[in-house]
Amino acid sequence: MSLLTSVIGKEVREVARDGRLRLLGVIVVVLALAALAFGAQQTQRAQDARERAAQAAQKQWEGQGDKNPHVAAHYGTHLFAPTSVATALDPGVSAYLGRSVKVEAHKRNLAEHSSAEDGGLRIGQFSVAAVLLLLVPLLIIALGYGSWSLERERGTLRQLLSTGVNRSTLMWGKAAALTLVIAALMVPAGLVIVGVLWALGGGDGHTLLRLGLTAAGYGTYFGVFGGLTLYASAAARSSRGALVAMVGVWGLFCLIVPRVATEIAEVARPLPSASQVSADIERDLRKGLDGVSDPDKIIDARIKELMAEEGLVNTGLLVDDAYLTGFELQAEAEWEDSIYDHHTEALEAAIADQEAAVAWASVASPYVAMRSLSAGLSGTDYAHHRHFTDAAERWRKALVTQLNSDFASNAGAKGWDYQADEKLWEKAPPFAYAEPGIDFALRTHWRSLLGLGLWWVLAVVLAIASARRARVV
Amino acid sequence: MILQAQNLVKHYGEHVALRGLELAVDAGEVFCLLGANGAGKTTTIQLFLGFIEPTSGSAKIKGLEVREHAQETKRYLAYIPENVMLYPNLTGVENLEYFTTLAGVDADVATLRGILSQSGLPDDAADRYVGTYSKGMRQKVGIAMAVARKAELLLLDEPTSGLDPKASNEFAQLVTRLRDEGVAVLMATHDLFRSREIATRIGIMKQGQLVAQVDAGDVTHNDLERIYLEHMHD
Repeated sequence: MSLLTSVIGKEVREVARDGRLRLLGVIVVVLALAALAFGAQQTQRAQDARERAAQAAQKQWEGQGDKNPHVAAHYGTHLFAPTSVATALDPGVSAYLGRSVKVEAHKRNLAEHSSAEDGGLRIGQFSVAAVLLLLVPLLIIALGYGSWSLERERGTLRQLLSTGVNRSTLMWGKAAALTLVIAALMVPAGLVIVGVLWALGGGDGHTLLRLGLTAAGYGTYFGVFGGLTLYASAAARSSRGALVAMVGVWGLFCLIVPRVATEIAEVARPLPSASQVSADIERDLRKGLDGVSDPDKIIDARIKELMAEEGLVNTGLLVDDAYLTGFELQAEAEWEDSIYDHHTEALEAAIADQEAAVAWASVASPYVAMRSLSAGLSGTDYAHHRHFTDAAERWRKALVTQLNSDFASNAGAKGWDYQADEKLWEKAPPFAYAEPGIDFALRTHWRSLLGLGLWWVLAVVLAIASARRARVV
Repeated sequence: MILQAQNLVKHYGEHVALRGLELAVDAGEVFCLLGANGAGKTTTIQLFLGFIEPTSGSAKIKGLEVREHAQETKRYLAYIPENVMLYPNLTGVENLEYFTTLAGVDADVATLRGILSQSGLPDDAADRYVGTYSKGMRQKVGIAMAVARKAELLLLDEPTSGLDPKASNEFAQLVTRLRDEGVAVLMATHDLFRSREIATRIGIMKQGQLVAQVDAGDVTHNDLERIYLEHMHD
């Protein structure tokens, strides 16, 4: 048996025979599985509700009967974001953001919740991700704080070193044993998670790749806490000191830095309230972004442009009223879109700046890095939400344009009395939304990846240093 | 010469723990260091273990400077402190297997059980968790480690302190047996009786210096006690 194997075997055996640590490990795994059960139930309910709501919306749209196309655009319809099975693992910010968008003429709506997701709001905090992000590091601390300090206090370190064993062999053995113990708890739990997600419909390669990368991320995150714990165990004067120091570090990483980073981001880049945004949009719709424009003139100019594009200017031909109304509606929609887009983009830019500011806090907290990476890989972060709402908005514009074009082309003398039928409703472009690929999450969260990587390197360096740092007497 | 100290000095800040210690222990010899607390006995042993570094002077094991050959010199020695500290959640034989493996000894479990038995540990204790052991039983595991490692040098730091007379006697017999097998022993102790019994030479330490040395065979218990007290009262 090699020395390293011998050290690993002894360390694992000690943990396995310590009833308190066994119990602690079982509690963490049970909590993770309970969170998974809640998450899976919520995801299943959300998927079912989405499916039902989407079908109902489609049925309502296609069965709305004969109606003027622009009136139909006013009634609008609803679009629903797909609920990724990974939501069961990490609900991210999806519990706080809407998963459906009402699309209608003249207005870009914010996403809203469906009733089925209200429950998710209440238990959104208790998730597998929360257990992995918050409780597993505490388990690692409980397992590792005595790695050097307890050996020193018990006197076994002197006994060990009197055998001539290399300190670095001890360190690698302790680190490997800690890894094995955590893996022994997490790998079976991880297989259960994969099984449940598979049952929820996440057996495709895309989801498995996301899960694989998420597992690698969490492995790195746990490694950071492992390395820091080994160092604290070597550097502290006593095992109690090592435990207190690491619990303090945990509190700093997981409670204080995220809160401070959020506060700083909010102060540095404050977000307007929803009512303020609405008021600003109303104001700009009346007076333009510069505050002095006349929307009627701008819309008229755009109508002329649209007519020119169709070759209807200076032709001496009389233009059908309905045709003109179609141009008017289109020009009006473009004006409204420009105002809504401006304010939405400004709001999104402010949110993106806040996210970037918080993401930079990854260099001060591996928790912040892993939290955003986990949500990103699960597709439940704000970036994925934005990806969906942008697609919904593009679809809304296409739908409104299609309806207005139909009005312009077919109303003829009927004007506003013109009514389209289900043939038009069925021609509405399908909202075939596809979630972005894994590269989107990785590109979005490059700061978190960088932060986590730097923490991991630091943790490895400190773990290696712990072997030299551990005092014998 | 297995162990040799030459003009060994150790300072802890302002405090001088060793002042030019001169000492040599050969194979088959038991050198007992007597002295009050703080005389420098434990410091001497820790210097030979390489746990601390000398301020000046030389500490050699089998001709190798401990400071420069910390790993290599440990291959020759076994260390038994006042309390042999073992892993309470491992059995006696598991502890022995672990420590001997780390020391580079490849011995099967049956051999290790035999060594534990020879060291005076009851057969039924080998598979019990060490957390249930008495101090005497742990000291015997310490001896078993030295035997299993075939150590040429035994460093004992008050190994019989706190043992009952029977356990202390058994321990002394084990050390004597190792001495007779050619092991060099350096033992720090307060126990004049045991040191007279098992030592070949006895040194009295005071304020970091060896102030007297006697051959154990040349003195009675009473003589030893008188010499010791004379130096302590100087």
